[in-house]
Amino acid sequence: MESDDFLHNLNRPEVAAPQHQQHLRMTLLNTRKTAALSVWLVAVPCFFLFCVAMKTYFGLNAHILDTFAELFQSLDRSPQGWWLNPLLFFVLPLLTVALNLLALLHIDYSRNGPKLLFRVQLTLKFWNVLLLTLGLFVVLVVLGYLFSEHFQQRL
Amino acid sequence: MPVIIPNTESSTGQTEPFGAVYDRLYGAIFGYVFRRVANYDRACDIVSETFLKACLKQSAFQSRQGVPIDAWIYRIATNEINQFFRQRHYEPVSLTQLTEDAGYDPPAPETLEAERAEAERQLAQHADFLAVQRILLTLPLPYQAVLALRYFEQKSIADIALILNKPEGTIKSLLSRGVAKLRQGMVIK
Repeated sequence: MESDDFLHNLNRPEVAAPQHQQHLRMTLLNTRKTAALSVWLVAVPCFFLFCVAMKTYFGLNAHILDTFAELFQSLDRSPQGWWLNPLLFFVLPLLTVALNLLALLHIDYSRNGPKLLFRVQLTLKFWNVLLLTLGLFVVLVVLGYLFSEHFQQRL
Repeated sequence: MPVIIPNTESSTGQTEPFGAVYDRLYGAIFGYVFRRVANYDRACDIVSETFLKACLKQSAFQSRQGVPIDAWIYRIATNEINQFFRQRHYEPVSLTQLTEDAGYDPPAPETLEAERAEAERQLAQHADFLAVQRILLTLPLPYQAVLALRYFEQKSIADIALILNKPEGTIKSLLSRGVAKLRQGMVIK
């Protein structure tokens, strides 16, 4: 077939779009990163608090709860691992709060003559809100615990 | 930075991170879409939407055994192109959603100016291709997809059947009738 040959031998334009490719790549691979990363940041403190709550309020005496608590106590006493507890129970949850707040908040500003107009937009995304709440909860519980311990010692 | 998105199974049956799939297929998919729509900006929108949908629907892909990821992404691109031709004002749904939800900031048009100019120069240099592409646009969409995949992308009948999820016999028949219609269009022109 003449048309078939013509079509097979058709010289086609070869195009590349490396800039668009790079821009899209960054967007695609970052879309759900904040939420996914945050899960790991709050997983350990949340599990620990869950264990403590189970033991304190429901009297659940599972072996795993004690092992977990002992592990953190030994880390606290260890001269090499003293920094791990503050990191796990304060810095990482605080980082979760900051990351998710940034993911939810969009702040724009524009200048209209002498006026500077700010527009604050809050997007409610389930996973980000949940993780932000969890992070905040962990930070508040830890702060509450530190304050109560401090005042108990004074009394 | 690690890729959090789960891995996908490639055409060779090996697990491949989505980032690697993207790097491997972006050029081919962009070329395919650009040769179908012959417009750089529209091609960017359609390609973005294609990869965004592929990224979001990976779980659906993983349950479709026997379909290589290359064919699956070509299929999404083909469906997006069909939507683009069917709708007067094509709106990339997932991309719009991403802009609204995650504050995605599309690249400013001027930053892509050099790429756009090069793509337009390429088109202008291929008058024969452009003539065929314009006649192709007058044919029904099923013929357009089959002819473009066969003659613009040099895909085999088996690959086209996988991409369009149709039996090989149907593809052969669409091709044969499509070429006849194309020839008719070329004679009239």
